[in-house]
Amino acid sequence: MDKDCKEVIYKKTFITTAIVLFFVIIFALSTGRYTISFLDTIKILLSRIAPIDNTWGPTAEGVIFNLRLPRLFGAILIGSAFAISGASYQAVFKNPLVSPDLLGVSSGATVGAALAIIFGGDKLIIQIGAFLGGIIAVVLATTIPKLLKNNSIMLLVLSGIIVSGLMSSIIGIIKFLADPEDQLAAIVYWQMGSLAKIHMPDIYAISPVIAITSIILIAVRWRINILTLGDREAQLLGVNVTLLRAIVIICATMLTASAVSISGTIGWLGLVIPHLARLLVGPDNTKVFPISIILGAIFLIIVDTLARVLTPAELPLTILTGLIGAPFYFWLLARQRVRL
Amino acid sequence: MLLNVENLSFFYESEKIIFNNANFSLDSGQILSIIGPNGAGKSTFLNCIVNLLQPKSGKITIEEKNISQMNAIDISKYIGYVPQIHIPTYGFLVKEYIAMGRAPKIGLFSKPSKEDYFFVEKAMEKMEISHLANKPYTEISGGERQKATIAKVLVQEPKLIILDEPTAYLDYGHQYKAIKLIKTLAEEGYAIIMTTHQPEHAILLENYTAIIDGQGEFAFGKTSTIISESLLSDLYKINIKMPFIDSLQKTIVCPID
Repeated sequence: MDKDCKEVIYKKTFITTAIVLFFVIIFALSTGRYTISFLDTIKILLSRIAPIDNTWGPTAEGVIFNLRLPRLFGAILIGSAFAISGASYQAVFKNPLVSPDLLGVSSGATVGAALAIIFGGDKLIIQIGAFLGGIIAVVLATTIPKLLKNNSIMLLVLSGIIVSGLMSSIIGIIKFLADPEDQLAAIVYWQMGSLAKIHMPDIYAISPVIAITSIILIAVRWRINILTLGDREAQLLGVNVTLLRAIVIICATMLTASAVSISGTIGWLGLVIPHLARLLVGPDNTKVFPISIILGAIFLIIVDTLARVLTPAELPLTILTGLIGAPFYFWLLARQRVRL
Repeated sequence: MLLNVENLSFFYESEKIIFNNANFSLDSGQILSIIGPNGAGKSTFLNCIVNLLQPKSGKITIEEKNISQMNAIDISKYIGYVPQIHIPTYGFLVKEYIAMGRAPKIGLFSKPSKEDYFFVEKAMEKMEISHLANKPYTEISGGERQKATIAKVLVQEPKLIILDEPTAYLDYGHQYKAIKLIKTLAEEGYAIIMTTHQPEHAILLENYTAIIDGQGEFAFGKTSTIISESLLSDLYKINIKMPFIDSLQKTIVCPID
């Protein structure tokens, strides 16, 4: 067997997925109710940095820069944020079945957003409410083990279940109290996720948090490998387990909370994408993290484009991620079963 | 002296004493086997030595440095730990798994370099598992997994290697090979502490043996003088004979009715 074959596979996978990402981007920018040819799309993008004769008219340019590009940026940021935080959670909790929702970040964010909606908050207030709700849920979930003076992973998982359960009930109360005419619909729509209302200011608001936390996670990704061996073994290899785990959970939570705050909750992404990445390049997180970022972006761009074009009214994203993600996850598990 | 243990005691509640006033020292190239019945506290003892548990009293020093004042990285430069074989969740390649032993020497934000992988290759050659380098750790046999785990400790370059029941889950042949390997490591200058359920293994390794009897007693001595028929019979609550077999020039351990 070739000695460095895994490295070669990784490089090939990285280049292939990056090329796919490029074509998916061009496809997403060209597709929609107003169709633009691929060539024009590329020309329009390049016209901002190079002198190219305008042959496409102002409408195409407006559609791309004002409508489709902000959504594309949103899809890239949010897709990769879910994917990398899913990969981090799956490593820290030593369990490939874990998603970023494990410690209640999504249900907490929903409570925050729903509260903002029934108190008549505008878009910014809803975003802030969602972000804070997500963080508070995870703080609660990580406080329970401290109260019980037990540091085990199992107790942390159970705390997550407690907090998620509590948050779901609170969401139920809020929905029950909400005005069914508009507020209830807004909460339900928010819970199913959408990129339809994303504009550039939203992107500017979340990108610093997403950039900083992603960079930290990518920087410590080899150490995260060691955490998967178990606390004892990691500590005896000189790893400060408590600190590293805290850093990873904080960063992954901030990532999910930022993404959820502008898109609403989007299911499946954080669970499925790291699986696919591991299937392609193996479990080493130095490779899984970069591939997950690219795959998360590709997946959400495709799903969001489908949401725009499949029906006259926009489909909520979780419907599509579930319809695609569930069978896809089954296929992944079937493949891994064969390899076991 | 590499490792010095003075008056070490540990108990979970004051009634149940795990061990009391343990005293011993161990130098490079020496082997200490720890025997005792299930639940007597062998693992607790190892946890104290590697500073994962705080002893209730006493002092552990390694090269004259008090271990309770050292951080995880400092300790990992002296002590390598081989846990009982377990299958981790993710199937890292054997070479990736072994490279994790370099962690104490690799910065927080880096990953193993070419030089680190050079150490990995040397350790794999030594353990005769070079052919497994690109196999997932989850898909190799128990004996191979143990060799990989020992290779991981070797790249860590410790002075003391602690093995928690290195022969558990191994078949008869691999158990014997593991014991031979431990002997070789000691000859190369590593100090070794290991726990075992097989008194024969302690006898094969000669050197020193410690006994944790489950009643709070800790006994340490030369293996040849400390292990006796009456001690083993008391320890395991069965009748044990240790005849010397002339034709093999060996003492064997044999439970009888």
